[in-house]
Amino acid sequence: MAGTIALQLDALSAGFGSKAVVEGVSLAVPKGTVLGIAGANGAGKSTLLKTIARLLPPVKGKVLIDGSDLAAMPLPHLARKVAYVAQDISSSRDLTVEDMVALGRNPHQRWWQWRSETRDKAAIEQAIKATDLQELRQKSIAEVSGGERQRATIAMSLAQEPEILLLDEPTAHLDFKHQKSLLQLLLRLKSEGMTVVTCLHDLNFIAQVCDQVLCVKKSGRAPSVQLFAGSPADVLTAENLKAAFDTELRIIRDSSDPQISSVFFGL
Amino acid sequence: MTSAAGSRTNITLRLALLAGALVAGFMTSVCIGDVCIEPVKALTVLTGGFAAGGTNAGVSTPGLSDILTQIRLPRTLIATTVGAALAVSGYILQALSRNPLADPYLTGVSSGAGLAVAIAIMIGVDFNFMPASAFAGGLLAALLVAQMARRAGGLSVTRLILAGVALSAVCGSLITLIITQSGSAPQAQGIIFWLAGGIAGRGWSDLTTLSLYTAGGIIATLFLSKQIRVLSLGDETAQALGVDVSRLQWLLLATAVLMCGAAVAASGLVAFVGLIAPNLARMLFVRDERVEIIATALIGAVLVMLSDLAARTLGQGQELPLGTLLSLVGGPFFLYLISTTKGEEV
Repeated sequence: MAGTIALQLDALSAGFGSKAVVEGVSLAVPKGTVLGIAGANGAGKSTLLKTIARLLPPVKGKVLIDGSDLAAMPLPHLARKVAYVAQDISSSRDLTVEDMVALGRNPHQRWWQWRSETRDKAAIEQAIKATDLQELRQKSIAEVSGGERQRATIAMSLAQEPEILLLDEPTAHLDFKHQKSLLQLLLRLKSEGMTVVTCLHDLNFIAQVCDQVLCVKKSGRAPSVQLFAGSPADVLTAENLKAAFDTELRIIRDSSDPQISSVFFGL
Repeated sequence: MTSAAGSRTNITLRLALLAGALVAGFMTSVCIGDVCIEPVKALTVLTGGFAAGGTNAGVSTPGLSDILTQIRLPRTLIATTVGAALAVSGYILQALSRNPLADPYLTGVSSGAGLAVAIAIMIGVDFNFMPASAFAGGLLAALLVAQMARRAGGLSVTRLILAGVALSAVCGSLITLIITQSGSAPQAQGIIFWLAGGIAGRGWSDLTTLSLYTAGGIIATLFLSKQIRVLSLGDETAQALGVDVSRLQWLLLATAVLMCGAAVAASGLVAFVGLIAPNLARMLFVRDERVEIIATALIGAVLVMLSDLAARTLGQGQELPLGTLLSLVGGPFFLYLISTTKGEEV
């Protein structure tokens, strides 16, 4: 696991314009690992993720990918390395699931190019298969359910064949079956060397899939700060969670496997 | 692409029907007028006229050739090109704003051009410079609106439309002021007639500029069609897919303004084509942007050509204003679109 560093946040402050929402985040994400970003509502998880995706310029600090500054990369080059999956996306056009997944090939194609080359087709097929969308490929994305659209969005980002996958609340619209298959998919991608950064509310999901957790915390009107970061087994403690979410949560650990713990409300 | 073999045939058939409508309309427009010409005769004149440099053995009336080549033909071609230019301009603006109700008027281009023409007529600028004034005014309006719609990382679509509507209102008031304050009646009449839209009195020289801009615009739009689809997923997702969103938006806006400005310069204010044509094209052809763009251009061309034909034949001895005729059709269509469009899309 301790291989090359795929992604590095260097004293990063994320926000809008000159106004920071989260500040002073420093963290290294090794290649082939999963980082979960946790925190209460409004703590700036999504803002941080968007800054890592270069959808927002950093207020201060840097995002480094393979050691080079994100801000200096040409956009198509960046899009071949980093894929970003928004919480909910739609199209103003009538696209099928397959059309949408095919758009993931955009950074690999010339800007006027419509025709899918063999390599494009293979990536699209693989992405559709990985997200279990074979049956839905000809359906309009306006007609499928929120969870199915979310899977199509994930498939589109897989078709990008990125090295780093950024996911904003990927489990939000998914039922248990598809949460489980997303979990399996992330573990498989990880084993294939993909680096994943994901915002997640679900601490149990974090505990099962993430190698590192980064928790951001807002206090008062000041920007959020990095509260703790580390492996779930180390940092998901009752004290840390109380500090992060301002409420009592209980942790259950399996004595035989320290990696797997379960967080619940403990009423 | 989704089209199976069957639907691909279907698409080809529909496009062929549209092209057929264009040719049929073209012949009708060339043949009908104050002097009616038989289609066969017209064809002989046109083909012979070009082949033999104007000497037509088969035609008895010498004036017939002039009517065809100097009046009907350029006028019909201008109507066709204006229609295609406005329609594709509307297609781009709808794609940019992700709103099926957008049209060239929302950018303020047309009213900016209208104001420039009103001022030009008032201060007595030579008629030959009218298209140039319209073009300059339209471009100025578009730049002003785009400047107002500018925000970090691109154009704000909402601001674009709001600024366009506001600028249109200001230009409209200024035009009214100019009309009411202009001392001489002929000047006021000239402005009113231009604003109502019309292609009467335009010739080959107008067509050259117009067709260059239109052809360039349509080709550019076809090349940008893939990026138009990526942009439909929203600015953020488009950027995450490697698109320089703000550059793409500027490119699309410039293309739309050039086509719209050239059309306004040639025909005055012709409303609703940019709204009707892309929406009809989307009803007829789903999903493939390239087909939609071609269909949009064809529908716009047929629409303005037939309206121009109606404008010069339906009036009793006097031409009807083209823009007014189109608004009679376009207004209700706009209301129909509003009533059928889902709330979230508007």
